[in-house]
Amino acid sequence: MSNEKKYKILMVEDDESQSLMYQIEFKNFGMDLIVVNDGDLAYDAIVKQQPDLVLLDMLIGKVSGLDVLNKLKTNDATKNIKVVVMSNYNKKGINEECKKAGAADYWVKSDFVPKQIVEKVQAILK
Amino acid sequence: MLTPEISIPIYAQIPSGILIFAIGLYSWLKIKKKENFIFFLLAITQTVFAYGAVALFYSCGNDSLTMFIDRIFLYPFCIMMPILVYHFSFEFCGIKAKWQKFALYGGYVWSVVLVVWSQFDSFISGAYHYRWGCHTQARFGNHFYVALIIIYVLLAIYNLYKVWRDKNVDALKRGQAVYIMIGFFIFSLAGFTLLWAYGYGIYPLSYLALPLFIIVIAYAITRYRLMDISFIFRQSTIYLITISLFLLGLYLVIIVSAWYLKIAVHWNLVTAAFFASVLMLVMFDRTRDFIAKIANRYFFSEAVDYQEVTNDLTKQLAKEIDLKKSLQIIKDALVKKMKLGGVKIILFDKKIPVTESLEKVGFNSGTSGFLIKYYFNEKGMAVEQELNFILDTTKDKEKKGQLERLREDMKKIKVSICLPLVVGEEHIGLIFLGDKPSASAYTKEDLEALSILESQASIAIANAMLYQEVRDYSLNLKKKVSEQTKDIREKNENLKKLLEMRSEFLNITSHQLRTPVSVIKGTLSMLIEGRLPEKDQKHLLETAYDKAKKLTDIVNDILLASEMKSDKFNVEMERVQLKDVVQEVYDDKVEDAKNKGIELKLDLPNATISDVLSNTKYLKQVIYNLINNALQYTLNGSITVQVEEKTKTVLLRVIDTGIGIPKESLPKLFQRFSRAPNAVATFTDGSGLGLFIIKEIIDSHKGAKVYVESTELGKGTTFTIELPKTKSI
Repeated sequence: MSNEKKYKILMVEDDESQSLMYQIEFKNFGMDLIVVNDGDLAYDAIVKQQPDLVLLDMLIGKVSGLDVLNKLKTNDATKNIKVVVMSNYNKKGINEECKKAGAADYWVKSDFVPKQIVEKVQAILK
Repeated sequence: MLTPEISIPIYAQIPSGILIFAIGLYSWLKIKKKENFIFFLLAITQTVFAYGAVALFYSCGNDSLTMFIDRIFLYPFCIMMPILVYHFSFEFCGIKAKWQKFALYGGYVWSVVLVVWSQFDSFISGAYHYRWGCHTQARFGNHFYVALIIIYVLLAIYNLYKVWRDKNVDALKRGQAVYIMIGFFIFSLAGFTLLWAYGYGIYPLSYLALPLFIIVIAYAITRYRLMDISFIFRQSTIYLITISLFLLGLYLVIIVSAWYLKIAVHWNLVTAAFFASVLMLVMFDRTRDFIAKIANRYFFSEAVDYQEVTNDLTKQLAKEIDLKKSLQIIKDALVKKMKLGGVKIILFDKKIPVTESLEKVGFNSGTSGFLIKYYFNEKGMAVEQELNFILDTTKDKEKKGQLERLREDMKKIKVSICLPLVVGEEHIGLIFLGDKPSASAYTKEDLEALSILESQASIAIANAMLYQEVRDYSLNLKKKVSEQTKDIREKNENLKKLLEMRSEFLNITSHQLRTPVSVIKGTLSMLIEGRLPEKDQKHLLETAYDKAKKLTDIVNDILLASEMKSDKFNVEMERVQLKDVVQEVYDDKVEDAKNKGIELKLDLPNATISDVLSNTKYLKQVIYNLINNALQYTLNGSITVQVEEKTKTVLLRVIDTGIGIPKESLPKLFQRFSRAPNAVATFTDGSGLGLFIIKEIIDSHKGAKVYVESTELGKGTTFTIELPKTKSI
């Protein structure tokens, strides 16, 4: 684990109980999870942090996850950062819509336990 | 000197001359075609020949007169005949051959030369006398005339024969060719007259050639439209021909009996009589019309040609399908043509707007019933004049009374005849007729005509009524269809909106259900696998427990909402003390609010308040939902629960300092799955059913109301519930 490159993961999530849970599990597997709890602040934080991967929720206050995704993918500074949309909001066609906008994947949170999320993140980063 | 005997054929020349001239002139005036003009020229030569022959007959005995007449009236015209006949065939057959053209011009030159030559003694001189008449004597030049006849008549017949046998020519033209050919052949027989010029005194049958020619040509015209003209035999033409035949017969009788009895006939008188008869024939038609007109005007003012009236009516009604117009046509026929006064038509079909009831017209109901049910079945039509007679002979007292009433009713509204309109077994209406204007009685002929008219009118009216019914029905149907289409479209729109809302609700609800599930599931999985650090355990487990409770609320809301839209939902009313219920809910929620950083305040009146009519369980649900709702949309500040007693009601207010509700969202506020736009953007734990559930519960109360008392964006909202006091009900 120590041989591997230390990845920097950023999570945009406004529900504290959830972000805490994921933070603990990522730490358990030796990964850093930075949490941003307001969609409005997400873009600036990502530019500043330059994470390897962003886990983006859909319903994050006044802005939607899709807005943040579009902004990331149309700006040169952030367009190469991998983004996975991770939400319990699962409207028909939202999966395709996000992938079209440049998301690496779309995960429904309740379908996976935190450990599985960690594994999926690792798989993507490899 | 020998006085010649009268021969019948010579007299046939007189009418023939007029007729052939008339046909020739008509053909040329009607169609200005070359062949028609040639025919007209030929007709002129024939006419002059016809009268010249008669003149020649009367000149017999005076040789120089005979010579004069023959040279001036006969030879110049007769010489032109063969070339005209040929020319006609040339045009009729559309001859193109060069030698024929040459023959045509040559023929004209030949004929003109002969016409000039005929004025000299080397052509004709002196006269032969025969029993039937006289003729100049042929000299050397006359032989060339005979040759002319033979050559050109044969050429003409040859041309016509060719057309007749040509299968490529259309049937009509070929038919015409045959008759012209036969006509010309017959006419050429007149050439036998020339035998007299050579000293052979044969009976002058050759004079019959002209009338026969006329008959053949006239037939070809009527049957085959010869020269593109046609005669249409009108009724008067038939009369004319009939009378002509009688006249011919009369002349024949005169001539034959004069000849047989050897009586000297005064031929001038006969000729005068002949011209008088021709004049009569020509004037017959006009005179008849004129006399009829005068007679109708001054003598028989009421004489109506019923056949004409019914014919006209049939024609007009056949063209009309509109009921109102049909009725007008019938009225016009009765008033203007049959000259009957005061016509009124009544139809029994109440749906038809032009209809008046019999009672409205002036009949009492008993009479009208009698009129329709009994009288028409028995008698066909009710005639006032006849009623008097029937009354005298009727023994049945009841019937007599009814008949008397009928007569009175008819008199009252000045009706002389009630004419039923019947189709099949059904009486569709009545025609009322007033008196005849001349005040004379209706004749048997009138009544018969009315009966015929009645059946025509009935059918026409029934058709028009049926048409109107179908038209109205179809219009109605169209209207209905368009209404229902509109209705369906609206319903469809509503359904679409509802489906959209439902789908949005499912998206939100599933999110709300999954969120606690993901926390509970994640926390438990980490606990089981021993990866939950000691220091975070308590906090995370408490969060999971909270989420589990919320999950229960959401599931309950969903179940309650789906139960509410079924017919089974019914809230049982009981006495409820609102203060107690509010207190209970407040105690339960005050902690939750505090955890969220919001102050939950209670504002209850100090005095005891009246009970309200409600249901504790459901009322509690309402208050919970109102407070939950306020908690969800209030990010900071306070929520106040207020109770206030009014005269008939008790008010419950939940006042928050939340995000407020946009005005455009207020009308849809209490609908299922509805959410204001600013509510979607704000993360909420709600099911989206809170207000809907409140509304449903309050609506199932009698006399209770729920509404937004005030709201301002960013400042807060006040929801108010009015509950009726138990006393007031």
